[in-house]
Amino acid sequence: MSEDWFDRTYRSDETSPPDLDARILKQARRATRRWVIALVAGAVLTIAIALALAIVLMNIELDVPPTERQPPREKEPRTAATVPADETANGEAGTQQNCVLWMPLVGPLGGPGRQDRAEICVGGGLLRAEFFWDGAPSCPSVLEVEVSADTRVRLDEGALVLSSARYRCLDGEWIPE
Amino acid sequence: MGRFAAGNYAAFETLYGRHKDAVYRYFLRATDPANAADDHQETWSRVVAKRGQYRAEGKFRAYLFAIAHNVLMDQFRRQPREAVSDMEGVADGSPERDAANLEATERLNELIAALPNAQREALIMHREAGLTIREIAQVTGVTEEGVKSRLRYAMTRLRRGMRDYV
Repeated sequence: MSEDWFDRTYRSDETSPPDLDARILKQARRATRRWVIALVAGAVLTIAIALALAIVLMNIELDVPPTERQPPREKEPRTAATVPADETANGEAGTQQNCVLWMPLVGPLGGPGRQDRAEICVGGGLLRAEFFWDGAPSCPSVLEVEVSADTRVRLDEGALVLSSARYRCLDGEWIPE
Repeated sequence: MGRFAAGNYAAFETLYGRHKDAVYRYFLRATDPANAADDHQETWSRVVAKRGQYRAEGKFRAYLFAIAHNVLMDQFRRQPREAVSDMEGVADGSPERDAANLEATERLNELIAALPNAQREALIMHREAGLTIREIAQVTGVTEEGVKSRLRYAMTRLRRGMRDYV
């Protein structure tokens, strides 16, 4: 649509009034500010919700009983103990009737993987030991030896070791090695 | 427009400075100055309000004039404008009578104002806003052939009205 006469004659130099421009720009500025405020508020709200959710999830995790969170660890067999200095003390092994101090030792006396047991009873300066092989008394006789405080008692390859002395239950009798 | 939609007010200032006069003149050619100011403000208010829905699929100017077109149609619905189907009511262009009062430009503006709405709108969008035939067709909802026809009729009328001036 080429019309030279039109282009020569047509003038388009009217401009929008400044006060009208000012009103429109002010309105846009206000709207933009509201928009930015809404964006910031939205971001803050999102973060707050995320934090709240994280805290809730952490609490749920903390409420889980320890036994559910970690598989139970297999208890190490106890194969050594020490006669305490005070025989009347309530030692870690606990006491049993007729014993001032009672210490069970558990370990593979009869072979790998077995949970044999030697029950040590201390009282009156004597140590009495009785073996149980897989739960059944295997050495009917009871070893009675004198012990002093701090005597180290341990199980070693089927033998009961009291400090440096070793005893083995053979044919129902405790035999010193 | 995308930057403005993201909250950048300076981007709006740039847009407004670039297009404000074309929009204002679009309304000025179609209505009186008071209504032109109102329609101009309403157009930009809608641009601000709808900034979140803007999709950069074409020229911003076409988008802007689509809004302006709707504003103008709304105004015509509220205040029906007498479409002047011929050059009645416009000074008939006798140079002896008009030369003292009207320059050729003023005469042309009068003739444009007297055009039927559709022809005037197509002419202003094309000449003032620089929209293509296709863009005008999209904005006004008519075919491209319809736009061409409107422009042709408008120019014929204007040429006839300006024959003693050009």
